[in-house]
Amino acid sequence: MKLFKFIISRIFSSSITLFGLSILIFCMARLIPGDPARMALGDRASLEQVEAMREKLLLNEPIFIQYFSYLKGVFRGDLGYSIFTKKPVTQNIYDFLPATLELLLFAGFFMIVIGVPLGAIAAKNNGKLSDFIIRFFAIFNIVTPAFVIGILLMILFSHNLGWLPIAGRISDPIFPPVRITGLYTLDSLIMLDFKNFIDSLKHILLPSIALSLAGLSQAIRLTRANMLDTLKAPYTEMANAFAFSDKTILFKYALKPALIPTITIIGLDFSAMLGNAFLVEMVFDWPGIAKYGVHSIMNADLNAIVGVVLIIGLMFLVVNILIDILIALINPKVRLG
Amino acid sequence: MLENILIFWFKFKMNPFSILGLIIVCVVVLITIFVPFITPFPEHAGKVVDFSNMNQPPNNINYFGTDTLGRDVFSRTMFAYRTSFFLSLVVLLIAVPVGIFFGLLGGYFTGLFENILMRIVDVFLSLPALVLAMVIIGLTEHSMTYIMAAISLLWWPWYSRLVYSITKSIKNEDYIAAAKICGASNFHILFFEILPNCLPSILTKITTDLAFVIMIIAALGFVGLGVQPPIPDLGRMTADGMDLVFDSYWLSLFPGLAILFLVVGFNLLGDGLREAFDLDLR
Repeated sequence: MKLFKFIISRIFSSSITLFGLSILIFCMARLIPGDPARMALGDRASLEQVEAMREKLLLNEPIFIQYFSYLKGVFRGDLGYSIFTKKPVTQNIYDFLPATLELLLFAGFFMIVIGVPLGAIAAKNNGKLSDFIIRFFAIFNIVTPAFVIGILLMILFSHNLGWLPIAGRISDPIFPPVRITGLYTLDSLIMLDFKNFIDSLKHILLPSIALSLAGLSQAIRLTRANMLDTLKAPYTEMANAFAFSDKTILFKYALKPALIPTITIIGLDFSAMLGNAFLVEMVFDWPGIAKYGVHSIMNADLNAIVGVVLIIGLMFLVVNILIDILIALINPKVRLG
Repeated sequence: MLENILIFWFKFKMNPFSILGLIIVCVVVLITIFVPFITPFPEHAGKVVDFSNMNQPPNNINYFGTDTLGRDVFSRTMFAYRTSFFLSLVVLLIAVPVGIFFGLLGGYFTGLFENILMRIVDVFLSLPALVLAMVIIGLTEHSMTYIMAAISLLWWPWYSRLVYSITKSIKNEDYIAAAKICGASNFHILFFEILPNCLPSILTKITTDLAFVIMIIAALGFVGLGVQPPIPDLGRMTADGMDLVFDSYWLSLFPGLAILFLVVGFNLLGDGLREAFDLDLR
């Protein structure tokens, strides 16, 4: 019951944050110099056309009336028209969001499945060569901007070695799978279309690795630091005295308690990952929401910008709620404290 | 006081990596100050075109080679340090005091103000800094002033949250109560009792943030929203050279390495400070 209350309160406070974000970004988009109607119609439109557009977009009304009419639209699932793609923003988000979600899921998967064990190995071999190599790898990834990593990977694996495709989500002659979830790898797997699956997997590998490396390295560093503590803890020493195997001690007794702080930070890293997605999608020409966001920013496409920002904010808040719940489930002190 | 500094220095120099970080940062600071005197072609930081010398690989005259317009990459990289360093310094000079001020107030005075402030902070922190910066700069002008303004606007909440949580945790300590009993004003308690206790955390965060802001500016430059040419900028130089990376690797390699050098330096220094201050920020 306490957990339920906790979840409800987290959802409530996140909704307030999202509401605040919508006000912030809406005001930003409206108060910034330049006439959105003029931008939408281009330089050659007549003054009457611009005035009609201003009426249509409610630009002559006070800003709070504009905001409330926008908000009403949001609740109906209407985010306005994108002047860049000439489609409703909701439709664009529906088209582009799965690509980004797929990328983030893969990156998150690498972050946990590679980062945590590497951190554990480094902690186990504290001070030895393998520890040094892993730490160097981690520091290199943290201090290198994501776009540089992306381009290096692309040069090495796509251009020089030719193992993986350079850009896009799927090779040209292959049709994308029937949309079920919108994630190509998952959809093709559901349809048992293995050729499609392998091809989309090859495409997603490089961008998702480029996206994950910074977070993955944070996971390495945190797991290592926390495990150095838990490896010295009395319960680990006792497990040692009972002559449990190294593997059991490492993964069962030392790793679990070290994971709680790591998971907390993964939530924060997710925010950085969403930001980096904007760079990685540009490098690999990945047709996701971030690339759409960059293009709408470049074209001053106000409705699209507000829509993208809201979706990104929503994703961040949802992930953080999930992580809070996860921590509450693992650690009763947080849940009940 | 002197004794404290000596103890701090003793702890700091125990770790060779911290010293390395300090040296790197000092070198970069010296470069940014003396850059017109140490670069062979200071005029190449501006509008210079020299097609007779374009795309030269690294040699004795142009240590990092020349770019597609014949400009010396070494000189431009060194000047780009100045741009990046200047930008991130100004951003933090604006954002840190504002963040500290609101953080102190929010942590000390409970009630409506605290709630409103922390919700505002949450709103700012619910989006990646890079995304908000791109939106603001994309909708305004791509000038240095707007870049600084946009990033500063996004950066203060981080300091507010940091100072807020420290203030919250120490405001019920005995020495604060003692100061209150002695009749100290709120102003005195906030700025002379609480603030000094926040300084180690703030200082450490500033060091790592300098690197972080530089990376954000480089990323903005990469997308094309950063400092506009001909002003040299590390991100932009790296991005521009990427198209030609197979033929003229030096165009993006050296600016890229320069970003790396700077970011490594600040991170090592930050880690060293954290260790020496005995902070547990992880």
